[in-house]
Amino acid sequence: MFLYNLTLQPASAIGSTVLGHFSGEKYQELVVARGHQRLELWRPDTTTGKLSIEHSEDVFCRIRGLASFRMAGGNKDYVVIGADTGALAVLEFNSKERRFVTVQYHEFGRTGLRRLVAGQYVAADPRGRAVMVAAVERSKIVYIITRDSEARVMLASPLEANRSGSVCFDVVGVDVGYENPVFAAIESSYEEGESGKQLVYYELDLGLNHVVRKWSAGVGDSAHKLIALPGGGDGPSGVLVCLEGRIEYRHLGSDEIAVHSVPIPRRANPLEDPGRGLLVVASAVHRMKSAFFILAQTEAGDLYKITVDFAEDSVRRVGIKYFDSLAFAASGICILKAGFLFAAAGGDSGGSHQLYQFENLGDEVEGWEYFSDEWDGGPAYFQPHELSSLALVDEIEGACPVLKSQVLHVAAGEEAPQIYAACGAGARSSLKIMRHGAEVSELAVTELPAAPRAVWTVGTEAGELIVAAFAASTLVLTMGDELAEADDALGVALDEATLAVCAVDGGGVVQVTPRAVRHVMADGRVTEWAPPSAIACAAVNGRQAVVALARSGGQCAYFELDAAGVLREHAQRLAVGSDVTCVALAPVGAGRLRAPVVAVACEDRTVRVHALEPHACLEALSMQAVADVAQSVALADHGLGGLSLYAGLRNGLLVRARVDAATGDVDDTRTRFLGARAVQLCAVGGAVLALGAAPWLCHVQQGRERATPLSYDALDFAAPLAENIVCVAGASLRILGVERLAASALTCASIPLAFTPRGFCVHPASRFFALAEADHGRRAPAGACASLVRVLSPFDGETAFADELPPGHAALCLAPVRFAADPLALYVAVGCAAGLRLRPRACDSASVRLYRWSGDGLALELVHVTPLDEVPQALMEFNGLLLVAAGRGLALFDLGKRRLLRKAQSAAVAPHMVASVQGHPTHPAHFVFVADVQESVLLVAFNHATRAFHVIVDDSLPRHITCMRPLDDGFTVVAGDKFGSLFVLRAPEPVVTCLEGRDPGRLVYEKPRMAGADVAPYCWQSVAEFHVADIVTAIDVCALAPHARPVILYTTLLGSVHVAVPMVSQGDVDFFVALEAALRKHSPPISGRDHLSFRSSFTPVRSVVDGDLCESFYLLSHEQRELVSDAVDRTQQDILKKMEDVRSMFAF
Amino acid sequence: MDKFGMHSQTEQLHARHIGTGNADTTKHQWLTNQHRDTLAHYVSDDSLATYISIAEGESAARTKFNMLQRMRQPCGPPPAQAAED
Repeated sequence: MFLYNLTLQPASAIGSTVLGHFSGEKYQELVVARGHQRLELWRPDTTTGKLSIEHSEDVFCRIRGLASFRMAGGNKDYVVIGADTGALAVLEFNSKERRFVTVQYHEFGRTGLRRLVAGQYVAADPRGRAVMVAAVERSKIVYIITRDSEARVMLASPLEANRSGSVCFDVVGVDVGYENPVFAAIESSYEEGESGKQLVYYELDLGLNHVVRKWSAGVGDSAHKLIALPGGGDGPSGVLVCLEGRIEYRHLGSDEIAVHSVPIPRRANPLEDPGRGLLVVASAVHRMKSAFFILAQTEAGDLYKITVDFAEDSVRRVGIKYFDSLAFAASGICILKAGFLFAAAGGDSGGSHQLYQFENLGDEVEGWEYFSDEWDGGPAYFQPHELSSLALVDEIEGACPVLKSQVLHVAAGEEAPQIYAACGAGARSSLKIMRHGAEVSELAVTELPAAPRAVWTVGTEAGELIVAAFAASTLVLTMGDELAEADDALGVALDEATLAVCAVDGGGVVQVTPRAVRHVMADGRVTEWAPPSAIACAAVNGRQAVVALARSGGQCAYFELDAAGVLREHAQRLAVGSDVTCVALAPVGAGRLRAPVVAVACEDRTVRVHALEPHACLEALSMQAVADVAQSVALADHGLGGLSLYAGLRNGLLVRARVDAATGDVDDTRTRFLGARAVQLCAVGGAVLALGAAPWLCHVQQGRERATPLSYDALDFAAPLAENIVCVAGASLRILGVERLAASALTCASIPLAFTPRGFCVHPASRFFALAEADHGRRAPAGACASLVRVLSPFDGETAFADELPPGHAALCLAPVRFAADPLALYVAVGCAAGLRLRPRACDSASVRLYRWSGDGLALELVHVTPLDEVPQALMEFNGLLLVAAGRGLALFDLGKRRLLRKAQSAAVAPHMVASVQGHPTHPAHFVFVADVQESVLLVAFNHATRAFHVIVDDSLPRHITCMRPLDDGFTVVAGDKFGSLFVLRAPEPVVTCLEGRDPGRLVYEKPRMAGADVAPYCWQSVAEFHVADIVTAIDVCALAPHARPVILYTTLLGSVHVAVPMVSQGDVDFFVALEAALRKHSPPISGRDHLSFRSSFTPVRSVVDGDLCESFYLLSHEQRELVSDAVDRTQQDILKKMEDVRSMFAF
Repeated sequence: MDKFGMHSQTEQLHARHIGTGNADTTKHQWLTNQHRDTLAHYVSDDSLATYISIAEGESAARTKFNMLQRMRQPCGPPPAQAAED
């Protein structure tokens, strides 16, 4: 088995965010570390309030912290990455090449997430003179940033400020103006004789080139975060130390008495725990011309505004006031100069990142402000209010954290399956439905008297007009507040059908009707050209027109604007020899006189390219045979060199090819099936819309051509309207906005849930979901456990049934069961525990609640509750009985009248605790796959005679399994562990033979492979190993499109979706292995982490090619591509085609 | 005995590579070191910290903070030593 691993959707959680001018332009941008291995550049558009993802790149390391700095006098910010690379990387965003480049890279330690190797915290001096990287314990390294003679960023050799035996909680760069740079850290020593937390100032003496521990002061034991205040004339300098429920101002020399301390007000809540204060999770400092303020967010999601009263260098008092409440506790907040607040959602906060606009600064909103000189240390409260100072303007949806997911065909009328992901974050839990496609927002819908055949937009001085063509008439519409008829606005003929219309240079409009080519000039004069026979089809761009004559054996007339702005027919006609079905002209490039080629599609199933340049006008350049007659052709310039030719065929195929603009050569042909309907193509801006059974948008993203379906109804025709699309579906005219194409290949719909989901299943007929939800600890509203079992409609998100469990009970797992004793009814078993404790795992009482589907799968009814001895871990149907995995053991239960009846029990099957159970695909009556929380996967056989379970195959490596999925052959299993690895295990040869033979049941009599030891008879063989760097939470085997081959699809905790594609031919394997090796050598990841060692973080990578690395080929410059393609001895186009083939064959 | 300065070199190496054991390492020291390594890893790895925070029903920031706090004495104070060493 050889796998090609591909990311379909990158993780949505943001670990760290920095704000700055990374392109060197006027506007501010965000650099975010998404899912800790992807670096992205986001640009908030301050006029529209939309976030757009400008660049996204895999860095193949774990990003743990980000910082940015700007050199004195520079206009560009640089990014510093703290990662598991054991090195400091300084990145610059190259705005010309639109990618990050490493400007400095300095190794200082070993790779990996280590306690003593710096990388956990990074902080930059606010004046851009130095950066500090710190480890969780002991190490702190300071680099001085300098410039060389060519003004490039240089790092001086590192200076150490280590302190052994101390745990570091946070590091910031203190703003001290242009005095020696100072970094502040919260440290806690565990050495004997020392205790307590300290705030420590490390001063970098630029003159002597060393770092000294300048000052330290004791702070409270709950200090966890530092916020640096502006200094050097803009503020008092110093830091705010965030403690549990309190914030203190500290600065050099401030002794205990002079500390300014304010409370963090809390919500007045009768159930609160007074002994526990709030932690600050994120903060942002906003500087204005003469003042500044700080916004800090606590783990409850509330924002506080902190103000500091100061004179000269001394602080008079600190004030804090409740500001507003965001929906989640962010992993980072940023305040933009233009008056926006960006809140990044971390792993536990529900997935969607939000952009808010400031409506006021909170001064007008009523509320009590606490001041440091007035506070007596007593409790402080506030009354939360609706958003009053902020207004939500944009949101980027994401699914995070994904706890369970399944790939299902639930939605009717959709060919591709959907991914249903249970995302859990307490009250912000939801069921996310992910499907392939781009988000579309419907801006306007208007019904027209009849169904238009086509629609175009014509830009005029008065705005854009919409021209709709009917069977024998034409309608001109104007877009005001409403759509209105504007018949004489263009001067086009309205009593005839229109075949093509376009605004041409000089302010006129060219309209082609079946009987004429009309040129309406800017001053209203009209010139008409009457064809000898009817016109079949036409194409017009800004300077040219081509019309094909019907039933003429492929005669086309060609027109071009001359120097006087008059449309003149070319002396010769184009004759292609077969009737023409459609023609296409490329748009005229800026500063050009004409498009170089025309594409003509004929009834003889060809698409021909003819030249239009004057020296060889209408000369045939090339011909491309296609599978069926083309319904429509389009030429687009995607800026990739050459033109892209699209042909939509009547059988539903979309053909894409590259056309050399100079020679007209057609090569690099790709085909995609869009569904059984003729494909209409419409040029929309720089992209092409292919309208088949579903609308697909063909566009270019980060240097690669992509086809993305729009999550919308089938359309008939479309045209660009400003940044939106105007389109026709039947008789309705719609205006659509396509949102954030670059964001992801999957769109996400969300159904809110009450608590963290623990398990779900779907009813086979009604397609309703049964969900078990539970929360305990702080996330539960009442402090103890809160839990419910509900039935949910995935179509409208309505809850059809909900059963709240008694207080203190938590539903932990759920499984559908069909009992042999009652084969007609379908049951749902829910494993519950009351008074659950985690360390060690124990409970006051445990039970299985058995529900029966009622009302044709629209509701559940509770049948009975059966007590258990231990916490149930997983449930499954086995041999028409219910298999319950509790603690280490497995037990079988049958359906009884009052309770479940125990039929068999094996007390100690798993070595530590069962994590999950899965049925055997080929011998479901004999075997079951059991995953242990520490000891990998076990193949367990059931002895029908003794009614006991026996472990047949175990593993030689300890693996902390989170989820697994047996493959259909019955002896291979794919699983993921807590440390972010994905692996494939296969049973050894004797077991395979036995499983494929007649009597697999005899495996239960095998002896342990080592006498006297507590081991199984056989041991798994590892087939494939891969480090995903994120916890895999669900694995499924599915085909992603109706005609695609099956793949292993898995989702991870932080919300990414990947596929592992099984490769079929050895040639492909050799090719991709060579490509991966060449890419590792010639374009190593910008983070500086060795790709091979990253993918082998826990176990050496085996039999898996990293498709993400292969696809980084798209981002390379031409020279780098040359190097790589030389190394694998293929052309660049071969490499691109190969990668695209894998995508189109297996995924999207 | 310490002809080549071996002893002082070893001591220096021990100081640099925390957790390097010797014949006198107690069970408590060894365990404490193991726990610190584990906790530091949990804090550094965002997905593991999120995983644990969901299990505990806490915010990720609180989970990380608690684990850093625990790093100071993960196995409690050292047991009272018998007087012989």
